[in-house]
Amino acid sequence: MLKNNPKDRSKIIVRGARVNNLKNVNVEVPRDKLVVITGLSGSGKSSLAFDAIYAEGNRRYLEGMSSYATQFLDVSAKPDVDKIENLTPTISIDQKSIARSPRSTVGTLTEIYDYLRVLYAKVGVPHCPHCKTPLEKITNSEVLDDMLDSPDKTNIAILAKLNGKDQSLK
Amino acid sequence: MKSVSQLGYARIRLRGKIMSLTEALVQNEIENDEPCNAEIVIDRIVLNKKNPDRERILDSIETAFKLGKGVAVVIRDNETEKMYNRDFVCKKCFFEVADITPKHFSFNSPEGACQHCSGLGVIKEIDEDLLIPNKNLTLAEGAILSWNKSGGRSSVLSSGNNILKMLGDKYGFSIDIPVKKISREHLNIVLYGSNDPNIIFEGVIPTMKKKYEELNSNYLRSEIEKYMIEKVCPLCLGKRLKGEYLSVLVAGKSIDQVVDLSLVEFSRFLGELEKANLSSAKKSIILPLIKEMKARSAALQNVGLGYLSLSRSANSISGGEGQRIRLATQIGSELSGITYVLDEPSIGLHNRDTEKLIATMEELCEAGNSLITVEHDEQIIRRADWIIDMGPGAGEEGGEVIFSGDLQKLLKSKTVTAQYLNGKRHVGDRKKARKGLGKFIKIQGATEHNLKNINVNLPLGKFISLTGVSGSGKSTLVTDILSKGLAKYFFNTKEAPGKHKKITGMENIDKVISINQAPIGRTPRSNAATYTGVFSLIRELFADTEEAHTRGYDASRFSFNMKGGRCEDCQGEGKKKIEMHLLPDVYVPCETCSGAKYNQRTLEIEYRGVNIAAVLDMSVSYALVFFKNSKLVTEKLATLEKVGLGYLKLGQSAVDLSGGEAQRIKLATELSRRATGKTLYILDEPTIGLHFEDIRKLLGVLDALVDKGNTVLVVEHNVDVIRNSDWVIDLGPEGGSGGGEIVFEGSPAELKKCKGSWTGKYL
Repeated sequence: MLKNNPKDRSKIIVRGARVNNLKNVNVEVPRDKLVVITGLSGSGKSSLAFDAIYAEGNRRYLEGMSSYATQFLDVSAKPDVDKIENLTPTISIDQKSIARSPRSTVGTLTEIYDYLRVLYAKVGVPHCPHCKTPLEKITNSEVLDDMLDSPDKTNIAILAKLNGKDQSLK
Repeated sequence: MKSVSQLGYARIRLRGKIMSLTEALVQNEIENDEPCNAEIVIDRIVLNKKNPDRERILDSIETAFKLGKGVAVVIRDNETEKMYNRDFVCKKCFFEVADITPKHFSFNSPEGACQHCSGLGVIKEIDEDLLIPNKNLTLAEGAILSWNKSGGRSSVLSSGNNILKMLGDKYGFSIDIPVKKISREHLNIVLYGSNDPNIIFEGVIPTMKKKYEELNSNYLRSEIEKYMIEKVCPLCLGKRLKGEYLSVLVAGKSIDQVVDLSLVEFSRFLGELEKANLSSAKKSIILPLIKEMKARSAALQNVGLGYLSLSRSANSISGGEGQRIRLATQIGSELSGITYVLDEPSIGLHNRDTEKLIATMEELCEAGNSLITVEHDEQIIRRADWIIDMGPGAGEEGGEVIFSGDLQKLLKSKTVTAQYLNGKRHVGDRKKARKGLGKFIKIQGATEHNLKNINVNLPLGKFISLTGVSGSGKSTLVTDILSKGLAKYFFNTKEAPGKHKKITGMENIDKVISINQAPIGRTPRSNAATYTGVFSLIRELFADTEEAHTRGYDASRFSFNMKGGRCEDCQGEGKKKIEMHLLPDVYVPCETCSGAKYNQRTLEIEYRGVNIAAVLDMSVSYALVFFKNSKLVTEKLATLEKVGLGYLKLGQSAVDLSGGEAQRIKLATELSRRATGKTLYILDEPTIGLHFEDIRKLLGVLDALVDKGNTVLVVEHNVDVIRNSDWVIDLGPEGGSGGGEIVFEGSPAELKKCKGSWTGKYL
């Protein structure tokens, strides 16, 4: 029976919004579209976009979490709106929401720097900061391969340097 | 050596000879020598090339490395000896790097951060010139400012002078000659202390530094900070990481060189790396990394941020840039079914870059997301699928949806927005360009950032627009060089302006006022009336009433931020926060004052039948009529109305103000100061957040200023403002290293004909 009357989900429907200076606004916003809200400054654009639609979408989404989790989140109070239909979770991208610490850079904000760090750690070639010659290191199997290069029946001794490096061994 | 036997090894090599451990112990006792060059023999084998015992050898090597702390020795036939090192080691100077992991490249982790500046790249240091600003004074007269200014107590100065006198006697300088005549050597003793261990005096600067690190009081710290200047860290030269990690190279470039590239160059670098000749193992590691970085870098370039470098610090990017960075990262998240709410993403974007931004937004829509953006930009409005127009007025006169539909329908409607879009109204029509005063401020040889040694002439008495695509060097020229240079000249500020040869013509103006994009106070205790200073005047009016005189109330009684007149129950906030623990906090009006912010006694004082709380509830336009008898009050209120804030309530707290409103309050405050007719106003994108109608009002205000002989310089992308200016300077042609040159200087009409200019194209 429900199938005969599928609900139209192509629009976000706002009914009776009275946030800040909004005067009982009813409006329909098409979904999956680029929608512009314009008007004089102070005419209530931000109130409709942020304080009504964003706040409600964010609140509904966060309320879905357990009450234990919500106490750590900044869940806003229910905006003064009669109802909003067909709303999906909302994400706000405003001008303030960026971390402004001297420890963040464009690289860390976009996480490109994290990838770059891995890149340098994996394939970077270290050089001596003083004489600029490349530094080298070797893995166990490379030592073994090197050993196997010597002729058959060679007497080989493997030694560990004490070298005064480790005092506990003395 | 005994513990070696406890570890279970039988043989050892001492001074090049392999012997059993007991032998070694005996020999060691005879010679009573430190076992300086001893090696434990882990394993001895005869190599069988056909079928080597790989596992045993690998095991032994591992043990050798472990015991030898990363160094192992292999001897062949008791003759050839070879050393292996598991750590990175320099063959020439034996410099070692233990391990290289991603965290060593993070300037936010102690492993990688430069130890001197702890990864910030800059460091605060006491500056000699700030400490001794007047080198003509003698030490005895108090040349050292920090000693001179110790709260009027002469004891510090005199005891300081005693110390200096003793130093002077010892090293042979006089404290009664001007500082500039004291030799460098002697001055260093005073400032940094001497090497003589018998002298307790550490020197002025080390003492202050020590104090700065130990002090807990913010006030005293800020006192010392007055003598400090931010300098690039001398150890890492602003590169933030330790030297050993800065010399790790990929394709010949260190990580600090890579992050200093602009994103356009960065993508090119990644492309080259992709094609580079590397072993297949390495390739399979880096390819997924490169792919991810390339995608993110491309997304950032698509929102018009290609000129940014990865090293750009987050506190130096503008709000609009920050918003676009977030937008670009959202695309990477590949979510669908989300409603994104944006607040003017086009802020600070040149028209050319706006098109890229629209493409990005459309991409998000195509991925199945809804985008709701608050916007005034004509280009974006024209490309939107659906437009909602709010109005008709502002504040109390607004709050209604006056139009909702697509562009075609909007163009046929009669809203103010529609009239501007279909050309029935214009933001302003300039009849004639002003002649100006014939005098100039000249900036010569500007080379800061990407500026390419340019000379800029600013004609005084004109309305000047500075334009150019994002990253072309507009802000560098205006903020870093001009504003700071003039501020140094007029107000003696300590910040050094950006690199340039000189600025001439400063004598032709007597004041500079620059209004930037920073928000006004974000505290609920600040509001439009307190910020513009009009509230102090109103408080005085109240204090001047007969009743206030009888009761002995002064102006401070009428402040809701001070004890006395305010309601103590809510401490002047008018509302109370009730913590609901599991539910969100709820604000309720204070029961005692019912939201009036003042106590009953204060509210009894009335000025022309209205109490102070009612004044805070007036709109600017209403207050303008109400206070018409007080000239000082109306002057300030009139400027607020002129910039289009007539609807604003006097008591509206700063936190509730929109970005555009906050900026215009700042503008109004500056405008209400008496214009001298020789003032230079520098405005950074004043049209941010303004509707066409508001821009028209704003242009009226600015035009009036120029007509009085002042000069207005705006950094602006708005085509209407550019069209209405007398003189346009266009920087470019591209952003980043492709910019920094002057493309055009002249009137807007000529700019239209200029082919190389992106701005001209959009005019």
